[in-house]
Amino acid sequence: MLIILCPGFTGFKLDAKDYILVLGLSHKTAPIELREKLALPGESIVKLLGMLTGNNSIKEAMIISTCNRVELYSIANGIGEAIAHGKESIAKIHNLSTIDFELYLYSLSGLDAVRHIFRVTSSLDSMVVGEPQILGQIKEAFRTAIVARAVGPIINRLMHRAFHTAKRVRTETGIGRSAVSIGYAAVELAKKIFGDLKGKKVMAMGTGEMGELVLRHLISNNVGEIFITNRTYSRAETLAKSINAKVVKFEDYPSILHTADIVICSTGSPHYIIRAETMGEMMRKRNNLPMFFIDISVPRNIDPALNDLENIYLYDIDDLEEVTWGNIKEREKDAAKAEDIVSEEVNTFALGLEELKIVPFVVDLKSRIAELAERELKEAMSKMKNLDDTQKGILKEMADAIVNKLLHNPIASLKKMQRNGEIYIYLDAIKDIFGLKKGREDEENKNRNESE
Amino acid sequence: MLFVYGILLLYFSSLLLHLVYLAYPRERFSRYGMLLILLGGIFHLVYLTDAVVREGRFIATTLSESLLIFSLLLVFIYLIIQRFYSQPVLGSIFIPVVILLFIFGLTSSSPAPKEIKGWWFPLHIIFTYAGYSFFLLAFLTGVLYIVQERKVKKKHLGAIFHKLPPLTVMDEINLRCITLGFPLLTLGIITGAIGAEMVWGTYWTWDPKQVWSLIIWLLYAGLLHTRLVAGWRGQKIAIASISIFLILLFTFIGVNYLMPGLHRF
Repeated sequence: MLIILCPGFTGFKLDAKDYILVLGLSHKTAPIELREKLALPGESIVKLLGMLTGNNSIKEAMIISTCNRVELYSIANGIGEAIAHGKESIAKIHNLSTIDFELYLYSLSGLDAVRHIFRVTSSLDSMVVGEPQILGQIKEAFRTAIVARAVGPIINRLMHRAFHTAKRVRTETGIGRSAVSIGYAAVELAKKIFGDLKGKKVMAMGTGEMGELVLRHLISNNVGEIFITNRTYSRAETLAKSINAKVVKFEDYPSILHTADIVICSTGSPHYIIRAETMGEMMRKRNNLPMFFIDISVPRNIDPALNDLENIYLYDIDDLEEVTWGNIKEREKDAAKAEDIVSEEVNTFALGLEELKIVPFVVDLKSRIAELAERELKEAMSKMKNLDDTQKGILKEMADAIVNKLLHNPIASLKKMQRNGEIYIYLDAIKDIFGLKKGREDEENKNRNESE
Repeated sequence: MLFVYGILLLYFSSLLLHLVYLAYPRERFSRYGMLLILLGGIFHLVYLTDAVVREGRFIATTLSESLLIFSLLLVFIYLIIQRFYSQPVLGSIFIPVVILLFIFGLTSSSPAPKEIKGWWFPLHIIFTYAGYSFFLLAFLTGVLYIVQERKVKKKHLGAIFHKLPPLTVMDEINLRCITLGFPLLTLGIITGAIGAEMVWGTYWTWDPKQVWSLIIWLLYAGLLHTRLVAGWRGQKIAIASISIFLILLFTFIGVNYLMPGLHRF
C-alpha cells in the first residue's frame, strides 16, 4: 500500500490555475486483482474521458489502461477538485465506491507528474524495465483521447515530448534491447532444451506485457498449440484472439498444465501458484518429458525449487536478464543513463512551457511597435510629395530597422530573464510600460465571450 | 600403405572441417565434412575387403584387425545417426575416436591369427562391434547431455552451451543408439555362442569375457526397461549409459589384458 498524495504545490503554474496531474495505480501500488478490476476496455475509456472533461476541474485528459497500470493524465484547474472528480468518475464507471481503491492511488502534479509520464512512456516504470509494449499502449491511449477530443495543446505537447524521451532512452541506452533480448534468450533456451520448437505446446498464464512479448517470440518460431489462462477471462480472450490461441479458465489450468512443454507465467499473483510438490504427479503424467518454465512475474509465481527437479528447467526474469546482460553493472549503468535522459527531457519540457508563456508576449510587443511604426510611416509619407519608389523603400527600411533595433535588446533580455527564472519579476512591469496588459486582457475577455 | 594414408588423410580433413564448423557453423563445412568421412569410410571398406580377399580368410581374428573393423563400423554408424539427426557437433568428438582406433589398429602388433573357420565368428564380431559402436555414441551423447544439462540448470550459458546440441535431441540419439545397440549385442552374443559350439563343442564356457558381456547385456536391458517402461529420461539415462559403457570399456580392455580366457580381444 502506497499513497503519494501531493496536496501542496510541488509543480508550477501553466496558467493561473492549470496543473499537470497524474492520478492512477500500478503494479507498484496495487494488487493484480484490483488492477484487473479497474482496467478499462476501449469503449469505457472514451466514456470516462467524456465524464472527466465534462467537469470544469479537468481541461484535458487521457487514460492509460494496461494490465500493470490504470492512469489518468490530465490538465487540471485545481488539484483538489480534479483528484476528487477523477476518483468519482473512475468509481462511477466501474460501479465501485472510491473507498475500494483510493488507498492504492497515487497522484502527482507538476514536474513530478511530467517525470512520471516520461518514465512510464520510456518503460522505466514497467514491471520488466525496458519492455517495448508500453510505448505502443500509450500511443494508442493518446490516439483514443485525441479521437475523443479530450486532448488539448498541453497534453499534446507533453506526450510528444514523452515519445521523444522514450525514443531517446531506447536508442541511447541498452534498456530496450535487454527486454527484447529477454524474449530472444527465452527462445534460445527453449531451443536448447527442445531442439525444434515446432509443435511444442505453450501455456501462457497471465496476460502481462512481457509474457506476451515472450509468447510472440515463441510464435515466430512456429510453436504448436497455445493455451492462455488468466484470472480475468475477458483479457485472456482478447489476447487469444490476436494470436490464435485457446483460452482456458483459470480454475481449469491445473488439469492441462502437464500437456504444456513451455509455460510462461506472468499472473502477478502475490504468491507461488505452481509449487514443486505438485510437479511429481505432473511429470509422471507427461512421462518425464522436459518442461521449460519462464517466470516473468514480480513477485515470483513459480516455486524456485522447480529448477532442482529432474527434466524441469525454470528461468525467472532475473535469470533471463543475467543471461542476456552478462553482468548487472552494465544494466545499472544503462538504467542511470536512462534516468538522466528523463531528467534532461523534463527540464526541456519545463523550459518549453515557460517559453510558451513568453512567446505571445513577445509577438504582442513586436506587432504593437510595428503597427505604430507603420502608422507613423504612412503619415509621414502622405505629407511628403513626389517621392519615388526608391525613396519610399529607404524610408520603410529605416522604420523597420528602428523597430528591430529598438526591440532587439528588450527581447533578448526577456529571454535571458526567463532562462534565469526572473521573468515574473519584470513581466507585469514591462506589460504596463508598453501598455500591453490591458489590450490583451480585453482580447481574452472577448475570446471567452465568443466561446461561451 | 599409401592407401591407408589416403584414408587417414580423409578422416583428418573431415575432422578439420567438423572443427571449423564448430567455430563457424556454416552448413557447407558440415556437408563437406560428412562427404569426406563417407569417402574415407568407403576406402576403408575397400581396404578391408581387399585384405579379406588377399588373406583368404576373415580378418577379424587379431586385435589389430578387429580395431580396423570397429573403426569402420563407427564411421557408418556416425553417418546413419547424422542422416537422421544432423548434429555435426558430435563429429568433432566422435571422429577423433575413429581416427585413434584406426591408427591403433594399424600399429598394434598382431599375434599370429588363430585358425577359426566358419562364418559365425565374423558375424559375432560384426554384430558385437556394431552394438559397441552404438553404445559408444550413446556414451558420448550422454556425456554431452550431462554437460549441457548442467549449463542450463546452473544458468551459465557460455560458448559451450551455444555449440552443443539441444537436450532432447541428445536424449533421443541416446535412446536410438541403445535401442539399436542392444539387439545387435544380443545377436553378437548368440552368434558367438553358436560359433563356440561349433569350434569347442560348448555354447557357454563362463570365461570372464562372456560373463562380463552377459552382465553388460543385462545392464543395457535394464536401462531400456527403465526408459521404455518406467519412463526415465534425461539425466538419469545419460548417467546410466555413461556408467554401463565404462564397464564395457573395462571388459574390452581390462579383461583382455588382466584375465585369462579364450577371448584374446
